[in-house]
Amino acid sequence: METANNRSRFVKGFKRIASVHLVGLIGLIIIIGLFFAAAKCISYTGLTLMDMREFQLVEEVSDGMDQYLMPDYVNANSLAARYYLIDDMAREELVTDLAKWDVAGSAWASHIHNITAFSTDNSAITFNLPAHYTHYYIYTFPGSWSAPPPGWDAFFEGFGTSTLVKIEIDYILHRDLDALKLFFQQYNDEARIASISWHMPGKKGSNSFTTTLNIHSEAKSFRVYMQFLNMAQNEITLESLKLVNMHGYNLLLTRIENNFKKLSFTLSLSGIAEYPGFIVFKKDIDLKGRSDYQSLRFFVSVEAGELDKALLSFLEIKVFLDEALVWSMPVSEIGNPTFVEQNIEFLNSKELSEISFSVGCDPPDSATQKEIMDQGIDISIEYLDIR
Amino acid sequence: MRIPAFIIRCSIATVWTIFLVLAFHAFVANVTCPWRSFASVFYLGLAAILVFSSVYLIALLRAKKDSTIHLIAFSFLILTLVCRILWVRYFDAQQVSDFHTYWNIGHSIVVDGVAAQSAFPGVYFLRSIFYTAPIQYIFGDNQQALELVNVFLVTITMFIFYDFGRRVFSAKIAAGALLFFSLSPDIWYGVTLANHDIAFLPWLAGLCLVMYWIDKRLHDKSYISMPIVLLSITVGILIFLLEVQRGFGLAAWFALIFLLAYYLYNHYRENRVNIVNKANRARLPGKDWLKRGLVFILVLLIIPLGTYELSKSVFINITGIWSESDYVTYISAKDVHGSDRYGEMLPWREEYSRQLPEDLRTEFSVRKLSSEVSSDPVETIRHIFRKNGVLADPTGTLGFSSRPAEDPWVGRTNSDGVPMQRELHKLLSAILFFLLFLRLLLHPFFPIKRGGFFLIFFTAFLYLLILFFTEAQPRYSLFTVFLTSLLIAQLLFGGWKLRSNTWWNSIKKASKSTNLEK
Repeated sequence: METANNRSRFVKGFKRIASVHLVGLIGLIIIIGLFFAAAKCISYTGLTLMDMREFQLVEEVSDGMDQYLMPDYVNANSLAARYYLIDDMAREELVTDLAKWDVAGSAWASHIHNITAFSTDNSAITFNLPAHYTHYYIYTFPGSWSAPPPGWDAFFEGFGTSTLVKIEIDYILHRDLDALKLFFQQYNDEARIASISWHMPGKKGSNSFTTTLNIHSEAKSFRVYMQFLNMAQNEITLESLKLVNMHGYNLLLTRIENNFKKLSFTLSLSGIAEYPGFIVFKKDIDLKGRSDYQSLRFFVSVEAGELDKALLSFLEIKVFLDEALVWSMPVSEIGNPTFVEQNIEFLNSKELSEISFSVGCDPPDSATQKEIMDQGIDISIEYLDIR
Repeated sequence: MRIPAFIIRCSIATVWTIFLVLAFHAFVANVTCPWRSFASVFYLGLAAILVFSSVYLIALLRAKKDSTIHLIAFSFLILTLVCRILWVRYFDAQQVSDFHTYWNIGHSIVVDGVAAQSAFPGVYFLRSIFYTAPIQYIFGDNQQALELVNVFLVTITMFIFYDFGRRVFSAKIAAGALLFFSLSPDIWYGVTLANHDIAFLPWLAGLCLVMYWIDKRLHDKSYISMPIVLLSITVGILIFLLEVQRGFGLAAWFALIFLLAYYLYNHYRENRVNIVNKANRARLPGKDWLKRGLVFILVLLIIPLGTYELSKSVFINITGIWSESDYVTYISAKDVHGSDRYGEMLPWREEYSRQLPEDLRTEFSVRKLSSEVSSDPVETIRHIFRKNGVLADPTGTLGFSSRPAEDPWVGRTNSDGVPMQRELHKLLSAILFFLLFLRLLLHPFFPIKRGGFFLIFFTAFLYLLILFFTEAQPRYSLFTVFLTSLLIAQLLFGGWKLRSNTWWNSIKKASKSTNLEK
């Protein structure tokens, strides 16, 4: 009886606790639900600023430009991709062709001794590839792999004058390879300072591979390695292996980070800033609650680190509403931050549909050419409002 | 059940559950690195704290009479006073950040006079005029004097707090709360700094006690009397001091308005029940309700507000300085991707908002704030929990007080073993937050007298104000320490009551009656 009484009081007590907190929990869920609903409603009233998450990266370059959107090492959330704007006319063949027998026949060596290189018409180099149970290499410029190649100075005359090199390889395989990799190693006057590798196609027949790589600022020479895993007798004919200096690229987009209030990105400037090109972010305008818009407002910031901002006068930030340019300012004149309020009343006659921010440069005259090396510029566009 | 009462009860249950969730999150936030924390159990300091706390709590548990409890509490108060004096004798602190400014402005007020202060932001002047300035006026440029005054302020606070606690709860709960109050690291580390938080504590403790007296007198007598008017004036002055010392006037006014609403509603309900019983039918309350309602409004709102405004205008007339905040701009500095730390909110306040044209500032700030809160609701909720984690961090003042000495007059600073101290306090805080969580979970068992409602409303409003709107710093947990200490002590000493019956006694009674039946 006593135990039953105690138990009933405990049960009563805990029922009360449960009921109170159950009511509280339901109340909490209702509050969170109301909050989400209110947030949705607010976004429809036009009381909020423009959502910066919807900006999409697009490329806009002048005629005669090549573009490369190159996935880079992604080791941080904010790093998106390296974006190169390259003037294709400015390409300069660094090495005439490492696959030409008459040019580079004696430049090739192998890791194991039973590989032979031969040529039939001097236009290409063919290697016999013996069956082997482990990886093996052929490579350019015999010598210790950890030391710079001796005695091949003619090949390296133009190397290191550009910070970007494009590698183009065409080759024919007699049969399928088990694996094929390309290595590119860079040396200064004393030792190896950088190494990078790529997987290449290893199917029977004609293959080609193109890639772009950054050149170390101290690099004076290089070696190219091809690594094979080949379980049967095979042959590879190198029809073309070119290294091309890519001059005239001017903008590298190395970071994009945006949330609902901010679009920020880092541009890395390199080379001679004489080639036109723009990096553009666009979004559709949702004009809910903003039927009588009259002005465009936002904050823009430019952080150039230790770089003298005056050097950036050739770069401009432009804002377009649809096709109409509504605001532009040289990067050198933008503070950290700068509030922009621009009258857009003249656009009232039609419905706006798109807004875009462009950063880049138009073709400058020769007097304004600047050479800037490896400078990162952080640009942020925040709190965008059309009202 | 009538609809208004039902809604009010549901609302209270919801708010209670919100704090329950926050308390549990605060507990979790402090046990994020448990292995290192558990390793610090072997740390002598923690062992000593736990042993001493256990002895103190057992002594309280065994005490039967209030006089014995008073003696134990008084001994504890003296012991902590001695320990704090030894602490400040052994340690100094390099005055850093705003503490440095308060110290310097105190000096400047004494040397250059009040008029010279108008060049500085008003908030620094306000926080120095009743704190560092009098200390420097009496003792000169003496850091040891500052530290001893801080110790004195903490001791006075504990004394008032104990008196308040024993009246509203019980002597045993109040004595237990003294222990948990003393375990707050911000008080120990804060006494070596020119810390306006320390100077704020006695005003808050005093306000709580005065509010208890007002509540008692208002409900004992149905008419307004001179003592009530004097107490009401005191409330206005104390809120003025809270505003000057810490800028928490708004939370105090919120609490007063809520308390007034509660009094009016409660009085209406009681009055209505009486009338229904008398006339056997429901009708609206009559003149008495209105008369009492007016007394409530007069005592809780009009007189304090009048006193506050009078004090403020006298102060401004004398000094010519006040801190007028642009609340909209201040609040709109919120960054839901962070946790509203000082550095995160500063760019908007100092660089962005100042570039906005005057006529556009409020509108743009409102739009910015509405974007912050509504554009990503999930991130907003995560932001609130991040802020709660910051507020639950017990090591804020430790971080300030443990910087190495730079000024020549600063002696030995508490700069060694800081990571160990940090983990020790995190572990202690985890224990305290878990006890608080239990107390909130079991709240139907622990009734609180009406005299403590002001403290509850004030603390809750202040916490929610910080959580949702203002900057968050770890040392802000100090502002909730009165209420949390009392609630934790109530868990241990409060007796488990359900509704108006003592739960434990009911069980005993039940067992006795069962025995009789046998």
